[in-house]
Amino acid sequence: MVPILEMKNIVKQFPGVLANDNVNLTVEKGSIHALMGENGAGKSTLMNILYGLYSPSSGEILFNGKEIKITSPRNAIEQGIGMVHQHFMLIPALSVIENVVLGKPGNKTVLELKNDAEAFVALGARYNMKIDPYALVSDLSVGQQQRVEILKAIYRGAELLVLDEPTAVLTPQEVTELFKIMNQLKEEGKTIIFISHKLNEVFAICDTITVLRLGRSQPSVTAASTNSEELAEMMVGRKCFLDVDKGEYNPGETVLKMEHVFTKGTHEALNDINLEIKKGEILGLAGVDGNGQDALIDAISGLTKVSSGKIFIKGNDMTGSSPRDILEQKVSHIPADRHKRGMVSTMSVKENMILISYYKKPFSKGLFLNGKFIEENATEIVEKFKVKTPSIEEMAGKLSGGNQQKLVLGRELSREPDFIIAAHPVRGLDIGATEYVHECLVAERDRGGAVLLVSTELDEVLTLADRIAVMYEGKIMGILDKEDYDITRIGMMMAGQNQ
Amino acid sequence: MKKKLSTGDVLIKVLTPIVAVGVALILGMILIALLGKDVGVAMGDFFQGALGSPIRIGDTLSKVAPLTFTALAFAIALRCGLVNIGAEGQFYLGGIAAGLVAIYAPGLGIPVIGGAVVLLLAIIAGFISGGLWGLIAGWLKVSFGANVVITTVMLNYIASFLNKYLIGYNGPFYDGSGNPQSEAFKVSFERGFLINGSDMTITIVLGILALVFYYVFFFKMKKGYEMRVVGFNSTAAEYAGIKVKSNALLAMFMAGGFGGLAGVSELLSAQSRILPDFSSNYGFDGIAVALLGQLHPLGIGLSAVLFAVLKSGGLAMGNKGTISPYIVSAIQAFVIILVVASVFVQDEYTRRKLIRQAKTAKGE
Ligand SMILES: Nc1ncnc2c1ncn2[C@@H]1O[C@H](COP(=O)(O)OP(=O)(O)O)[C@@H](O)[C@H]1O
Ligand SMILES: [Mg+2]
Repeated sequence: MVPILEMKNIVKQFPGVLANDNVNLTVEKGSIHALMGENGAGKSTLMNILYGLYSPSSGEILFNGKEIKITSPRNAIEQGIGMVHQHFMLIPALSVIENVVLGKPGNKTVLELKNDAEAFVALGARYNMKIDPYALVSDLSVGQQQRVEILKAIYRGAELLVLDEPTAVLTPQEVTELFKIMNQLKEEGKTIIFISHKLNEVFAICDTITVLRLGRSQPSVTAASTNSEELAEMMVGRKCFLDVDKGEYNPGETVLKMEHVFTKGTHEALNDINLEIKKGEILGLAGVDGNGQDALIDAISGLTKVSSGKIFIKGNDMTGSSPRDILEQKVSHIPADRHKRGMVSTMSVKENMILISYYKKPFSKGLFLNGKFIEENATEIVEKFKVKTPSIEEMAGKLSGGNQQKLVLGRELSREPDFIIAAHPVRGLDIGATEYVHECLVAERDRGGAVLLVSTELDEVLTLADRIAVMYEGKIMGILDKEDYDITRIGMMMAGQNQ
Repeated sequence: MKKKLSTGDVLIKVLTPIVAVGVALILGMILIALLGKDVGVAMGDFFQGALGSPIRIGDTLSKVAPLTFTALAFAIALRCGLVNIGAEGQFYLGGIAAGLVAIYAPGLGIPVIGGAVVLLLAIIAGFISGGLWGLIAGWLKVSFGANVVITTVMLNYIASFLNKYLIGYNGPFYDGSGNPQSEAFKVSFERGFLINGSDMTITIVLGILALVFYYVFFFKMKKGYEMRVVGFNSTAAEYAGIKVKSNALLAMFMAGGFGGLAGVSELLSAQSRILPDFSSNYGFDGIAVALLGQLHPLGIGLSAVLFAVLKSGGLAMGNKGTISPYIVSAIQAFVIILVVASVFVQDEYTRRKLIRQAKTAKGE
């Protein structure tokens, strides 16, 4: 049988980012095909190309064996390709049925909704979904909105349905519901591409799996022929990290202590976290993306409230403290997403350098900023941390990714922190910059700083960390000392198994 | 290490607004010609009316202060990431408060040293009441997530009707004359400032001071820096321990305050009592002024002058009766549309440039 979809050598270049690098994807008719990969691996980009939202820089797409050009989402739907986005695309102010017929070919000047509404309700009933076609989308729950989107795609005649991280926003019960619908669609002969980075979900529902890593596709595998560890490793990869000279491991007093920490939230919530990090050590936090690492960082830095448990920093109870009070404890945070958090890309390098300390002497005097010191400070950090920039007045967003990361690193490390949270500090960096960042982190450790290194790159953690903790579904599966490092064991823990 | 702006960057920044205004004027002339009127005569009236004599120039410049203040009302909020369409309403509130002070304060035994103390009180009252009006939208935003665009537009209507009520036949400040209006102001700004016989008052100096304050606040002060961080990237602000909500509240108060000052300067300079619709669209013109000036203090000052010319030239064209004043509104609308479009032109220019840079960087 001809595969329903073949995407061949797809390349997509964004300004500064190669999001898809010769991706190949073959999907069989009537199957549920998983597309896995870390955040930023290029999954959404690939699917947006399939759905006509982006045009590929090069590559070809075969649908039912014929080469096709997809010029727009409308065109994609006409050819039988539907997609439910990671971020829903329904219009909240309109009713369900208005959303369904929106952009449908053949709409009259005056909308005829009645027939469509009846047909849509009937379609919903087939999948055990109760739908009020005249309810406003803004009144629906997230799970309901998602079901409306799926149904809308089917209603418009989708043969191939793309679901981009549909479970990320759902409760476990809703996930079960979703899987039922997906199975029924499969029985009816429809094909589904299911995006997720959760191993258990993929094994629960999928036939075939393709992993994307750093924009490149790995050879597809069948669910029957693979296992969690193999997938975890495919996603996380075995990048080669150069060894960094480290001083002797000589841990001092406890800097961070977490006791039975829980947070709320349907997914990625922390579940009884106990963790200690001492002066002069790097604790590596390994795990597949989306297993609570972000929640852990947010809880420590005060960006989300914990629902129970205690967090101490240098012996002070900081549970429920404001982010600024926590930063004031000489905590530095190199965030995972530097564009979203770590810097203000529309501000100058110089202004970004004072993001955390602008309100303190000598960065400011009274109500005013101290322009002279701010310039000296920026010049010094730019030189010391080798940030390549035409000037300290340059907009931070115009620097290359590596130099942006050095900017953030320089700002955070020049505050002489006692505790450093480094989240994916080398993601997207080239070898030179990676090595530099690693040297800096090790230097902080040797100086007596405590470092929490969150990374999905197993080898990065193995190279740098003095101890390794593995996270899975909001829990810490275990903490290994250096002499117990064992890749198979860590891989099992990342997949949720502990012997 | 100083910033190197390429000549292309500078050109595009300066040229786009000029081209936008030029094209709008040409479109306006085409419109006039289509209506069968003499374009030459109309344009003559326009420039004669706006700039024909020193007094005319002074009259034109008297509109600069309110335009500057309403532009700042928009610009300040936008720097904090909030789209304040409410300068019109804030203008009313500021005007009402200042007007009431100018009517009633002299009777309360407040020393009238050449009216200066009363005027100072009027300014303060105008700033605070405009500010509180802006704060309502800010509060609705931080407490309930209500969209500032929508709430400020709503508050504009409320402000305008509130004014109509206050000075209407059943209102507390109706003067009993048979027309909906308040009593006359006992104190107001002295006209003929700088240019004898013109409508100019010292408020133009206040406008310039406000621009200086705007610059110093956002680029030299801690609080202004904080507000800009919130405006550009609120998640980064949270990460840095900056309180996003309190900055939004302060920004809306300040924005509203400047909107209020616009009302103060217009009412106590150009009018003699509170009337039903005393704004003549200043609140909305301010948005265009701020955008045309690209939120830059100097840019705002210059485009306020330009809009003052458009406003008074248009008025003169209309007064001559050769063409309907609605045509003038249409020309102003062209300017606004083209100004907004020019912002997109610039964005597109920057985007293409970034892509080019990325490509060459890869090629190296
Ligand atoms: N419109 C865009 N412009 C520039 N870069 C983009 C754009 N969309 C995605 N990217 C970048 O492409 C990469 C892949 O992103 P994406 O496909 O969203 O990953 P995933 O869905 O696997 O998490 C990321 O580095 C992202 O920042
Ligand atoms: Mg995605």
